[in-house]
Amino acid sequence: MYPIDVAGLRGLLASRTRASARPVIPRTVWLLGLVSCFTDISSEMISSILPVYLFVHLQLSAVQFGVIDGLYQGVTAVARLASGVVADRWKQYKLVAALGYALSAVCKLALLATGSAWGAVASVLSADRVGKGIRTAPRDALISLTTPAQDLGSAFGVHRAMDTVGVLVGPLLAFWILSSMPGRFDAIFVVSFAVALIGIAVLVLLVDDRRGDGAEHRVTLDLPGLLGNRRFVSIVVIAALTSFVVVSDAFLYLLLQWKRGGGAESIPLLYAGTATSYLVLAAPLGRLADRVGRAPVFLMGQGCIVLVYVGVAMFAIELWTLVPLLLLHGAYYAATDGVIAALVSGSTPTAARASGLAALNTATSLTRLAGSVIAGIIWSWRGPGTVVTLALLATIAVLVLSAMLLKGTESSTLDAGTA
Amino acid sequence: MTEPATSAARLTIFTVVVAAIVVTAGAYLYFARVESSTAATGQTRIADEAAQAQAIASVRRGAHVAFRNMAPGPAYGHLTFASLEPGATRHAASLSCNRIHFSDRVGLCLAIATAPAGFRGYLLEDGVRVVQTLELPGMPSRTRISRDGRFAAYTVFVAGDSYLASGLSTRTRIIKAPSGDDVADLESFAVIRDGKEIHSVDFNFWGVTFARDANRIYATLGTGGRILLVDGDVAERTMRVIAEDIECPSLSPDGRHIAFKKRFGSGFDAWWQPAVVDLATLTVRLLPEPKHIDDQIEWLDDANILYAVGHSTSAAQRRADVWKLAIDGSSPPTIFLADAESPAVVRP
Repeated sequence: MYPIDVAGLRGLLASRTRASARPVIPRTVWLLGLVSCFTDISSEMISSILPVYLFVHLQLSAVQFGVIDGLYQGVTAVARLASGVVADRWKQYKLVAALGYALSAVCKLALLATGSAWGAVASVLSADRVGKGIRTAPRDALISLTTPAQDLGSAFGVHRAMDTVGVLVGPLLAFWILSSMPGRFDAIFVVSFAVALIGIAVLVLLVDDRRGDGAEHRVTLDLPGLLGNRRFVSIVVIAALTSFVVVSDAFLYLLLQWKRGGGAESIPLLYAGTATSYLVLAAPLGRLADRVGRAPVFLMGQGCIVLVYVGVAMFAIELWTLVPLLLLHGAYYAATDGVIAALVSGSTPTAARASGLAALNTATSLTRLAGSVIAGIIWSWRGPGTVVTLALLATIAVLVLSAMLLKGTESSTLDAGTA
Repeated sequence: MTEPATSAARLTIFTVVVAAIVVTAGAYLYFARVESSTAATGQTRIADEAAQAQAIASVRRGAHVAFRNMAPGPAYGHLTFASLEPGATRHAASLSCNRIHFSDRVGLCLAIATAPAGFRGYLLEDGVRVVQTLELPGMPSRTRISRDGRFAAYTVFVAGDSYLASGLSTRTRIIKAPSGDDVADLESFAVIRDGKEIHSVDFNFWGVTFARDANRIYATLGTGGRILLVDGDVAERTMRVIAEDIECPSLSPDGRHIAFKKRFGSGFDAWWQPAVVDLATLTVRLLPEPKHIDDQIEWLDDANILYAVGHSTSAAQRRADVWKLAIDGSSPPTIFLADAESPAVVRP
């Protein structure tokens, strides 16, 4: 693994030996990982208790709940795209990301003030999601702009692993607070706000901004230029198609429950299983992507999800089948999420890095939502068995298509990345 | 690619800022915790386990009410018993429950388990002894025990893990008590309306109430934005739609009336008030209670109903009282149990 370079943290130059096989993860990436870790603890504290808070505590009606939940889960496409473009135009990655983090943090505190006014709750939770939409692309751009092109996979892997630690810790913290002081949702919001503030403090006070290298980059037009870039477009199309055919986590867990015959397998435990696998595999698979190529590792990730559906379709769900399935599910994320960000970074000029990553985020979140809706309709009409069969066929088709489209893009990614 | 050094000054500022955040949040947590564990417990009493079980057993020998204690303090949220006499001492059990119902033999407590996240049902005998634990597929919403104690019904809300990723659906099951064995999921019943069987993928059932023979149930069916009252036969797995706009029914002990929640307004701005329908004539009487109610109504006796009304809207501990109201509408509602919700009246 990659030891934290203490000297580097003190601000000494991290000496880099290109010949060494060990990737150098810049201090900025570690720090951004820390920022994401704190932020995810903060936001997962809220989202893990949100249904109970809205429904049991505030006693909102089903209609009110449905609207809020829809907004919360819904896409914030405009914010995502706009923040990427703005970050590129003004070369203010850190500032734009910090604004996104700050907006989400303030929302945690605002939940204290909204009480049961459901319209206010809906607005605050939407603003929280907009904050998430704003911060993602400039943050990923900072990661990709501070990391040498050949180590991008490792850098994103390390970042995603640290991010996932937060995903695991947040719900535990929230449930610890609720179990030691029943009904005190105010305490959860205050702690969530405090944890988010620590994340912002790391970003604002410790992370160095990465400004544009000079005026010459300004001539590059962000989005239109990107859309003419065939490599970039095929990678985004592949990512979007993958998000479309891979059913959401919640849906997969429902399929597992259905296979078990209605036995109430604890969904939080399934989430924890996937997250642990993702956490452990993200950095090693990112590094593997840097060594053997990002396209093969991405295809391997798609292969993992194919195997997951094969498993769901063919085997009874017992402990001995569940563990490898969750392992493969985490491996799918580890081999695709950070790796696709590295692939996009490698095919996007520096000046349009945040815009490119924002376009990736927007495309995948839109297709993911569309995929969930369609999978839901198929489930209602034809039942879960059909969902599994179709998902399996579709992921195989996308795997083959990805293999064809990615052929030839890999060889030229590195030179583009070092621009 | 050089990385500029973090100056000592920035590091110092960072340390100070983080320390300030940690101290402030820690202080808030500390005071919240102290407040939760030492606030005045009012009339609620938690004795040691043995003494408590004895006191509860003695309360349960007479007519009594089991409920969720909402008085701030160490017994907040706990299953609690009190005799029906005014001002009776409350005896809290150690179990926390969100929804409670009892017959004289058996009880069902629906709870939000704290770690790891999950929802549980506890089937109880002798008031407090857990004889069976159920894993619930969603958030506790409604529960009822048949008067003879042989069956229990519960409704949970499944949210966040619905296959559309958003939205909400209900699951309502009838189980045997106290074994917890499945009897039926209401979704498996044939639904008859005007002599014809109807189907829809958007069927949602909630709020079961048992008739005296326990095979007959009433419940709510929501479909296409409409709220229907159904009259079901558990053994035959059939139900008939008998009325519209009667939500979350609760059958009176004499079987003549159904108390229910009447919806006002629509969509986002809907609220619910208590009402009663005479089953012989299907005439509805709206009761003089303008406050919004959420949970299923309970009967104190054949002439009076009990229901919880929440009265705080902050993120801190929720508060609620149980109110009493005569179904002839002759008098305004009065508080029956302060700081309580989910009442279940038991007359052995």
